[in-house]
Amino acid sequence: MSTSLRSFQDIIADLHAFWAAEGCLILHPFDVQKGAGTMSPYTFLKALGSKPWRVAYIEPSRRPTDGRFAENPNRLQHYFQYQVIIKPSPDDIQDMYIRSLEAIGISRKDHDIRFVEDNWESPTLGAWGVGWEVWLDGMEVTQFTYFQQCGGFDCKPVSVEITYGIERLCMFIQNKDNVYDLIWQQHHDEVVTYGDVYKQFEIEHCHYNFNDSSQERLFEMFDLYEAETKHCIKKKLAYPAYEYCLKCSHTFNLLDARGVVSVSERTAYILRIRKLAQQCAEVYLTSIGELEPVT
Amino acid sequence: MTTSYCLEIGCEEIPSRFIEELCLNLKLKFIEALGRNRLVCDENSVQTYATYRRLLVMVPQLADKQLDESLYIKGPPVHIGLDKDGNFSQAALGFAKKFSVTEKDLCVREFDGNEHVSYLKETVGLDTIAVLTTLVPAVIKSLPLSINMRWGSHPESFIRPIHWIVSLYGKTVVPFSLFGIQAGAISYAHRMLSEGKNSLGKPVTIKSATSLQEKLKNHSVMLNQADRKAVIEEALQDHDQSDIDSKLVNEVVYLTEQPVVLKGTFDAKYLELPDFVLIECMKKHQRYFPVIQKGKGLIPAFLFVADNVTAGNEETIIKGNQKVLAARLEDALFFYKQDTSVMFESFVERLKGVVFQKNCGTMYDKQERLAKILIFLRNQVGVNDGEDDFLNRLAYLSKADLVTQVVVEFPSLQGEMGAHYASLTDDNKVYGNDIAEQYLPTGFSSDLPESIPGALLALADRFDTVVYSFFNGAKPTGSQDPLGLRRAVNGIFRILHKFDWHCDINAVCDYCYSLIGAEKHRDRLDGFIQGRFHGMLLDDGFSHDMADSIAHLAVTNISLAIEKGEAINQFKEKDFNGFKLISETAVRVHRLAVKADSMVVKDTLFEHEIEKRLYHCVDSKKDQFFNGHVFNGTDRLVDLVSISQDFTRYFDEVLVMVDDDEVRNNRLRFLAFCDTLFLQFADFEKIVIAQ
Repeated sequence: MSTSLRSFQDIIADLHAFWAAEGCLILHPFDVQKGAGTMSPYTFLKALGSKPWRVAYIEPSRRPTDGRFAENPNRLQHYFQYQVIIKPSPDDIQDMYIRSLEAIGISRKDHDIRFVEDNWESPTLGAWGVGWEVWLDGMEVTQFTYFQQCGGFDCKPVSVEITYGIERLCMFIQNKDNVYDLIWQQHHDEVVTYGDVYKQFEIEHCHYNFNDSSQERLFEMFDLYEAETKHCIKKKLAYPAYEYCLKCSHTFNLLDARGVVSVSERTAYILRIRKLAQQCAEVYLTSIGELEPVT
Repeated sequence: MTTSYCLEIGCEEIPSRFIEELCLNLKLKFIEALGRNRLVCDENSVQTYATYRRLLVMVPQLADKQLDESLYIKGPPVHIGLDKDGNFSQAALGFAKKFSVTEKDLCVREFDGNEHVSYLKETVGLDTIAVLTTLVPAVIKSLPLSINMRWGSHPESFIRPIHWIVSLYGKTVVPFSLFGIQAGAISYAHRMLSEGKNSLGKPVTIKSATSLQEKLKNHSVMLNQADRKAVIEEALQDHDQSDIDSKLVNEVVYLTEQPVVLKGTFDAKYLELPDFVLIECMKKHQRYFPVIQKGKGLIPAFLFVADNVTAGNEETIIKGNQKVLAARLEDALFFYKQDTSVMFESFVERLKGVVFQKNCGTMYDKQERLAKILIFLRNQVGVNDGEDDFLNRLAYLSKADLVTQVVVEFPSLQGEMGAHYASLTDDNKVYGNDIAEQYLPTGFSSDLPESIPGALLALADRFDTVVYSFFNGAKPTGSQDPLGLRRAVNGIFRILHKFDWHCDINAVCDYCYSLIGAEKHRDRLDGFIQGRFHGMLLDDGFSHDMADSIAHLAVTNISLAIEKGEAINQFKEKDFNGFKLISETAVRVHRLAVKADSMVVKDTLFEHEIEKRLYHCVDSKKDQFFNGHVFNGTDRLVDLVSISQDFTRYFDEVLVMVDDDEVRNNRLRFLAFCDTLFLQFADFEKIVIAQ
């Protein structure tokens, strides 16, 4: 790490180093747009089944409705989550988490670190778990979840998921009030900020998400992606099926941001995606030999 | 000899909202299990304590041995257990063998009036420690949990993962194992404030059951929730807090082991936000206490309860929390400014994009229906407040706040936010209060609307939602009522009762159905409304039979129904014989009345003087019985007594079921007419007559 202020990339590097030392694989972002790190197959599919799994990765997360044209200092339609998944959940996971904060310079002695109930449910993934949001001097910086079900299947053993809001943590560490002012990297006197990298990206995507996407095509795309998911499910190809399922989910989110999905249609779309996700989970479990094939 | 027992279950952070319930159950289950196992203790002094990561039971003065027990065991009945000579049969010997005793131990004894072969089983009480070894884990496993979870590879579930168990009888460990944890004598100090090897905190060896509380106190853990509550409340009072939110205090009590109340401030520019928005920002996500001082009102400061405060980190913690609140307030102010940059009524158009319920159109459509229902209700309950124009405008504005950014962000501010936005312009100001009151009552014991238009709007909104939901096939039950229909109907009752409005609920439902254009699931709706009314009567202290007897009246006039019920209750006290006579007469009349083909009576067909007299008496009184606006329950019960006395003579002198068809039918019709008189007071048949 750098000797001065930790940069955005330092924090990621420090977390990678910490979790690697705890025996986690360090994987890379999965190349399909998705709403959260949980939706990566490294979590959604790997949390299924009995085989142990330890992984940490950073994941870009897209929430089209949260966009604010880069005018809000805290809200983004594209941000990063740092995700850790360990199966089975270790007994000392809370301690590991607190030590990971110390690895990025947040000492337990200097702050009020609290675990406050926050249970998690993803209606589109048919997944839920119980856990907490972690408060750091009143700021929610992490979601901590023991997975109970995934794709409609009981998680046995249970995976624990730690999701760090990496921008929030970095704002805390660098003492910044605006996400776009975060120092992404400092090399000698040269500073590159989060805004330098993402501000234009953010604004353009907001224009697209809220005003310029073509609704008719998005509706068509949803249907096409759904058909392709079903096609892959029929061929028993869990990974390709799941990738198209993620595309359905993102396309739905784009439609939602345009405000063209009514409340009742909304439920129907979510159910369609959940059904696909559950079938992906089923195909996956069958292909790894942990579920009897349906004849 | 007696000694104290103490159990501490050390967990990962337990959700605060479940802790009180968990403690109560832990205590009840413990006392129940001790009793069942013949372990004597002073039940009244059993205590439970809890923090976010510990659940504790302290059982003082627990006897060191189980009570001995002598118990006759029931064997086969004598006709099987004894042969014809009176000797024990093979069956009796089999019974003896099953319990490893011999023939000479057997006897004959009576069980519930029948003789059985039996034997006296004498059990010597075991040592308490031996009993607790199985009793304690069984109690823990039997705790009912609102949310349970599995973790790691354990098949069992609990509220949160368990990390340690202290189980001490006096100085002795009561050993057992649960979730792979061995119960012992080691507890853990405060997670962050103690110097532990890891974040479980410092291990602390507990020497005896009674020393645990003191020992933990020395390690920054205030075990007793009452102590923590006192610390928090005292600190809040020190800051001149005029209004302490006790619900929030109870919540933070269980979010702490070593509570310290700290004070933060925020920029005064955020005071531009209405107070209730500021309060929502502080309380909802952050569990902060707004500072409301007498005379000054809300000042730009907040109090919060931290758990890991040291001399070295206090400043950092305050700064951090201030920053978090500032970000939230900045967001809220941004939304507020956006909302107030346009005219409030401009939001009404946007309701066209908000679906009310599946197949029920949008909130814009709902607002249009509300205008019509409001006017219908005003006429129905007979009040003069609210010209048509006023009510139309009120309905038009009533739902506009649902699409404002502040309400989208803080849904619980609906109504209140609308009232505020309406109050910003002179034209709309007059509707503000009524818009806010439409959501009252929010719960069983919450406030009711004060203003008449507000109450009418609250009624209209609920009638529309309830009728539409039933039309759509809703089947609400106690545990499954996602649309809140039970609460909605209860709200309708409470409002009608408060204003003493005579409202024909049936007619309002008819009208709401007419706005939909079709009637579906009407029977289910009527049954639901009656069932809710019955439930409300029980809540109000009516007996089951009284509630049964007036529940059918709810749909036509709830206030009157309650008045009738109360009148009967009082009358029963005052004149029991009179009440008994009314009741018997009503039942007698009703039995015959059901045979009638109509209620068209010809007084020319009467043959007896008493017939004519009764008919004219009842006919002259009917207005006083049926016109709710002039109804007086006590007077009418006096009338019913005199009518019933006449009926006693009537049944003595008049034979109803005569052969002549015309005369018989006329008498039955007359009785049917009288029957309605009794029934619209109460279904007397359902009232239990016992003094």
